[in-house]
Amino acid sequence: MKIIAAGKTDKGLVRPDNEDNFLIDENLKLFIVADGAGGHSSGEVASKLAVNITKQQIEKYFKGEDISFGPKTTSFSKMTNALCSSIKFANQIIYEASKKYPQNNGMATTCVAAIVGENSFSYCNVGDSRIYLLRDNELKLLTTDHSLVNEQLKLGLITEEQAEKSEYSNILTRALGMSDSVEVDVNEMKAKDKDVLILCTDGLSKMVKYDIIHKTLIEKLAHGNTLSDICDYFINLVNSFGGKDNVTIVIVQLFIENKFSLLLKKILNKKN
Amino acid sequence: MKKPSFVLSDLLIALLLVIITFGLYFLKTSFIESFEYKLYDLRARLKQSRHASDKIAIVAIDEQSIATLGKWPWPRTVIAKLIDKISSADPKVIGLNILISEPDSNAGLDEIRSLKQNYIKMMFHLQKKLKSKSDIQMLSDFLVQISSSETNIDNDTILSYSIENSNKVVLPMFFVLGKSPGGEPTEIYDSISGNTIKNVETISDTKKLETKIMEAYSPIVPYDLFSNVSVGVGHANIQSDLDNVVRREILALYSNNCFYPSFALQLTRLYMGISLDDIKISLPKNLISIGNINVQFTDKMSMLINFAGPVNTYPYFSAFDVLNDKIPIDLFKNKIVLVGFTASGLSDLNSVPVGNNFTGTEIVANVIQNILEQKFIIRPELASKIEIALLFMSSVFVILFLPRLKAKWSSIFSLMLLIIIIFIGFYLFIKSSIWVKIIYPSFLLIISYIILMSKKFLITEKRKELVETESIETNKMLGLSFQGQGMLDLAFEKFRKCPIDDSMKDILYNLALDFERKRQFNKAIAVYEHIKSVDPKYKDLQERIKILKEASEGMVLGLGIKKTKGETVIMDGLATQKPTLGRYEVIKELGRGAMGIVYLGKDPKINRMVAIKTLRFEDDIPEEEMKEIKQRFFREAESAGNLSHPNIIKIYDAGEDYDISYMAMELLEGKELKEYCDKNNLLPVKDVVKYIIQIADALDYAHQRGVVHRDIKPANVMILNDGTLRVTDFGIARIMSSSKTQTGTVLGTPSYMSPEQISGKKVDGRSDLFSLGVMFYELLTGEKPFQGDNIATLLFQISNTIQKNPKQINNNIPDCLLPIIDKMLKKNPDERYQRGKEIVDDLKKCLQIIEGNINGTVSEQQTGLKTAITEKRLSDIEVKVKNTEDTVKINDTIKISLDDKKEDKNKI
Repeated sequence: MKIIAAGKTDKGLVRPDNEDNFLIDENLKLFIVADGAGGHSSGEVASKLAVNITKQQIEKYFKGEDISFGPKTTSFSKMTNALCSSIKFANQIIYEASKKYPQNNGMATTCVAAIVGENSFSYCNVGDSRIYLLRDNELKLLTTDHSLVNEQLKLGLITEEQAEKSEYSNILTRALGMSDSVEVDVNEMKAKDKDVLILCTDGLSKMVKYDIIHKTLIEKLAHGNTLSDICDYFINLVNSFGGKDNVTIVIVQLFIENKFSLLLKKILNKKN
Repeated sequence: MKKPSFVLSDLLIALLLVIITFGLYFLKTSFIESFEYKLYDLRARLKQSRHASDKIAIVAIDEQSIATLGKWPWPRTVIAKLIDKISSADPKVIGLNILISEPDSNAGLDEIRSLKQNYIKMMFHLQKKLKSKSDIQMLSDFLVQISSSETNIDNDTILSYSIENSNKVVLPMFFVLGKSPGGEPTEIYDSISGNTIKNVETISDTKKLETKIMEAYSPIVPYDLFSNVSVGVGHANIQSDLDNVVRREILALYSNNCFYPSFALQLTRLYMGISLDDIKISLPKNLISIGNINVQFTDKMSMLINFAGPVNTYPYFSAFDVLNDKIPIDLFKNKIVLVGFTASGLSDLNSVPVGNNFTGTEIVANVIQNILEQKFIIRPELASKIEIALLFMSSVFVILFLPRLKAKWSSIFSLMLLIIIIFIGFYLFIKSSIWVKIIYPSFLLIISYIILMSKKFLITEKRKELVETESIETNKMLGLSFQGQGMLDLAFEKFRKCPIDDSMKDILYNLALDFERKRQFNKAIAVYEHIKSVDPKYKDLQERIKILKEASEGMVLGLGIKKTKGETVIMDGLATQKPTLGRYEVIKELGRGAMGIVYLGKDPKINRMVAIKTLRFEDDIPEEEMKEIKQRFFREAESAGNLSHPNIIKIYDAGEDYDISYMAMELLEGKELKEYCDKNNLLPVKDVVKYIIQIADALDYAHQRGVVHRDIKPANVMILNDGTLRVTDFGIARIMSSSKTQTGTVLGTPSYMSPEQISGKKVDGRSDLFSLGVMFYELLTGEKPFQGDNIATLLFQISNTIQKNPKQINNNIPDCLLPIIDKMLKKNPDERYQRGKEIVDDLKKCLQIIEGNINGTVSEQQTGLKTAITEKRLSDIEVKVKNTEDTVKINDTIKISLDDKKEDKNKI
């Protein structure tokens, strides 16, 4: 499978620091977005750790090392389990680092990650960062936010409008580094040609409405804008709304070359 | 995922064991049967009544008799004398358990007989020559003399006379057990032809017949001179089981197409006065009828002997004593008298279930008693049914339950089942004389338990090992990751947990080099020392340690320490400089609270120790927002500071220093109420009520001044060492939730939130009262009223579910508390208590009842008070119990005095 990807992060207009971190690794086909939390810039440490550790573990996995950590879900592929293990492992590292070093106390981070395989992709989520999938011009939210507001919303205790205004909107119910074990939402999917994955922090999802994200993506892709342009566009858009929070976006586009077209290509290349 | 396969294989093993056991049961393997025999013997030993039948007496040819009357064989005249003696006592029957199969070979008798022959011949010749009648008379007198001498020394004849005269003597004979090889003379049977049971109901199936009868051949019979004059001859064969223990009596042997009754059977029938023709054998029914007594036999016509007691249970009389009239003669009257050996070397000693060294004669005695008293041990068809049922029961247990139960329970249940089985076996044997084989179900239970448990044990051990290696791998992985991220201390901590093998040495060596690079020489040395503890000659370890030690000593005040200081920023800095926050000296960190670090501080002016709470989010929040937050912080600090209540923590001061906002407050030493929420550590109900009263009072006070706590939970209530109580963190929750866009206060479980709080509505004091209700419930029961595996269910429970009746959890909760808790936990704030004071009032009334109860006051007063409360609720008119009124008044005065003080303060 061929992929192209682009990612951008911006600290916004109000915050002094950027506590977000992201990873685009086209060799591993691994993409991560993490949004750190915690005082004394420890949020930055947490999100950095989440990205680094996950990457490091996945590298080990491709080297053939056993990186399994915690129980396995046999119904999922090895790759999915490896991703899940890596995230759990990162949680352990962040948790212990926050315990050990006083300046890091209470640090935590959200984390969404996606890894693309031969003809499928696996993804996982902890916290309120999101992964969207644009397929056949339909935008679908793949992840569930682990926030108190979202729980309230699911139970119908509050309405969408109340949710947007809620004073608890920043309260996470799950994050990496909060305890020595974490429940990771994990899933895998068959890939389809021209699938687009959007990984982002709540800086985007809270500021830009779903419809606008949807519309913009379709429009920009149709006009042949590069993924990097699209990222820039979104960041500018968020900042134009006030830029109250850090924002990070990673966009990945998948191209499945079926065997027939590959063959065709080869033949054509030879002729040329 | 793996577990079912374990269960499955356990199931297979159990199934296999069951099949094996059933196989063994039907095949009757000697190995297992011998164990069953042991159990049989045990049961027999428990069963023995130690009551010997008074119808039986044994005359023993014992050591004493042998010593005084000479070695065996005795002259048959002695035996004849013995029989005469016994006969004179008029017993019912005499069993002479001594086999005399040959005529007495007596040289004197032979000589006298040939002399007599010759003399008769001579007399025959002389008869015609002698004229004198007196001569003839003399000759014939001599003949008479010779004849009488002949008879005098012809012991056999004497004995046969005795036997004939007595007309009560039964003699034994012996067979060779087994199928006749054929070709033996049948004349041998002639002398015993009168001793067969003819009344036999046989079966045609020869195969089945063979299992039911015991075949024998080559009898050794008594000398026909004796057998002809005896009243009966019976076989005295004793058949022992595989383990050489005699448990059964063969009632009749089948030989030469006839059934020969046993010695004991003969004696019994004669005692009962029944002729042989009246004995009936029914092979189809496994039954021998002796007159009106039915004896059930098992295979091979054998009867299980119910032993009355150990050796010498029956009265033994020495033959010598009998001969010398030392025994009252009428002792044998109307009895069965058995004559047999007990002297060593003469008697055949057998092992029986109840003991060893049992003489054949005593076994015979036991058999006779069994038949006469009809006390048999039987194996009816029911027995095998019970056996199958027991086997089935343990099979079910072994297959279905054993693989699933935990080790503790499986051992308990296995043991219980085993005891039940053994009990059944023993009970039936001892009480109903039914022999049920219990070894098979017991064997199944024990062997399955051993195999399954050891398997389980082996597997868990293996798993444990796996987990251990796994955790080593994990630690290694974690350590490497920490090292990769530059967290060397943590890395070393993890590596320490791994055993030091070769690869580990490399890893540790690298870590030490990293420490060196960071100029943390002491730590590098520590790592090198760690390697050294296993392999002191590793690489250039020694040298490095030496160099580093020198270096670190020289650098103590130089780079080494400075560098570390630079690394671990704030705390070290604060600690060494004795920093101040505002006018307070910061002494040490106490802990970390919801909003930031809490320090122990000292107010140098009045030398008072205080707790200083700092606000954490200083530098990562936009300035404008921070300003707002700080404003709010101080506003809250102010309003909290205005609260002056004995049960509310005192705020002394609030301020800002180095961009850190802080609050100085009363230093509390004690325990959080949280500790008493544990089920094993609950406070007495009375104390809980007293505490809740104080908290409710404090909340009422705060609410009246417009301050809502918003985060009432056991962790926010302290019980001080002097026993008083403080509510802490007033208004903090509000400060914390105020920064809206900030990612991240990660919430614990909102168990104490009120429904309106979780649905994001405006919150007032009644929300605190709900939280108080949750806490109250928890302190009483040790359980939270609303629980959920995840936040979603918890939130749903809080807003929709009615809590479980606390009495179901803790039965000690007084009834009067229940309506109060219910009212505190109403979902709708309007249905709840509107003020903390109302709770205080209701609780105080209830406290009266509780204390009344403890003091032993009659229940009348209780009910009276209870109705008072209900009345109050019904009519909503305040019914005040006198005492309560008084305490309330006192409280009011306290409050008033406090208010006065505050006013004074304001004035100042």
